[in-house]
Amino acid sequence: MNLLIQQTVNGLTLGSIYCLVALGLTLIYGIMEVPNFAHGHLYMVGGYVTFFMMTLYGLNYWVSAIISGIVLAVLGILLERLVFNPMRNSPSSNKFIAAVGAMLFLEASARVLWGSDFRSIPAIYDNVVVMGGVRLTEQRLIIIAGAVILMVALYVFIKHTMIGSTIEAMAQNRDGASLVGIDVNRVAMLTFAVASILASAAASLAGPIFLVYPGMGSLIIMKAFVIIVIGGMGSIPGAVLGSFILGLTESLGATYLSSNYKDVVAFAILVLILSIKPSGLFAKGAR
Amino acid sequence: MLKLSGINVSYGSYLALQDVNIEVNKGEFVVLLGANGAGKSTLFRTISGLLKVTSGSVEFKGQKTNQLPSFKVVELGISQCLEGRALFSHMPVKQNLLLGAYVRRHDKEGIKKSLAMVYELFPALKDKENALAGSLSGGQQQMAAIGRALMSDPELLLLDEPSIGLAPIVVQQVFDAVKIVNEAGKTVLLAEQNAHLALKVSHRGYVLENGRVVMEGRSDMLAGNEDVKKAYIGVSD
Repeated sequence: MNLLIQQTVNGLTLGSIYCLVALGLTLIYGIMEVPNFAHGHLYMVGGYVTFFMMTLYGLNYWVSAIISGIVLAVLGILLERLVFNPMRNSPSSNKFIAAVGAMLFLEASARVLWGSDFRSIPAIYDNVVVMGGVRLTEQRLIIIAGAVILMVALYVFIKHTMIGSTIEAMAQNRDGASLVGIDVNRVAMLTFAVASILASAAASLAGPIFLVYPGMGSLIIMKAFVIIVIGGMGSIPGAVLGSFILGLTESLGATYLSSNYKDVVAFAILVLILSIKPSGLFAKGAR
Repeated sequence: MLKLSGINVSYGSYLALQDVNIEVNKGEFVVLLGANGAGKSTLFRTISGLLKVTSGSVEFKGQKTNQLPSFKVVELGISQCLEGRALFSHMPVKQNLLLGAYVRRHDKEGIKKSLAMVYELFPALKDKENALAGSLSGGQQQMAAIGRALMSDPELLLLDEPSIGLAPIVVQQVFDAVKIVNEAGKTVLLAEQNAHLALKVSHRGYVLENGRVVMEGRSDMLAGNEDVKKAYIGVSD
């Protein structure tokens, strides 16, 4: 029983990290209609920025995470301006290739600049808490709480502020958004900034438990894609639900089947859900 | 107020508008008649800045607007209600209306007034303010789209085929509402295939065929014209 609870908490931790990355991916897909293959690599850069802020400049964990968020917001805006915006009227295959190019560029840059070593963000919250017979490090609780806070903040931003709702408006109807006077370029930059901040937050939260290395982006982007396909491309609730489904099945699958099958379980879930609901759990729907 | 001079617009090698000259004066209600594919929507998209002219100019209140992005055009006071309505269908009606006021988002009082005005014009929207826009009937969606266009308090309202797909009684309601809006001081440019009603409520009209203006004049004159009757009203005596 304890093992079940333990693994459920681990699944929630994993789901929280996935969720922050997948939310950004789905937001960008919603307005650009193009999957941002480089999104996992923004997560990777976020991890490095936090790592260097702490180790090179000796900054506090939270300060480092905030700086990382700011740096990534700028990087996200640059990516939109330099890669996606010039491609806006191109066929989608060109956008795909551009996104893959951006991804390879970021990974190669990381290897050149920082090497291929595995690093770990110094853990400062590694005390073990015992709750109901389950042993957890504080960092895991921080990950879950942090993700929940950011999800609520994103929800409030999009549903209850005029600026935030422009993202949703543009995702639902680009012409309609232009005609009410929304500057679509500004919304595109805003969306990339928000999505990149979420990715960097995910990396800062995960860094003390998982490792920071140039290839970490490729792994998580695969998972994030599975999630937004499960949830329905462009859907925000779909991304949240998909993340926790994937996090929990991976964690429980690894325990009760075999950890070798961890990724197989994830893709089996994908096949299963898509065979029942081909457009995902929350399809964006017809326009 | 709005002046289109020698407009040419092309999609690739296809010339969708050829040397179009149209003028709309302040306070007028002008109708643009034309069949499917005549270029009405292209013309409207050009005025709103969604499409760019290959030559010619669009002037609004003496200012050239054909190089401006659409959000600037809205800020200047032109609001368009697209054919197909372009609503945010997964958002509540009220949210759609509030986004219509995006360009004056800091004017809380003004937004309140416009919202009250829209609800007075279309009481059905008040009852449905929390329903998703996509769940409304066709007529209510059209009302929501016109209401959203009015929320920016535009000087010029562009309406692209509001009657499309609506029952005749609803069309009448929509046109009556547009007439009220015009009488309250807003300039209206309306694109229609339904010439019968459109010519009744408007002051002047243009007839667009294959991307060219082939006729223009006072609405009562156009309504009496044999060619117009044959082509757009469907009765001829």
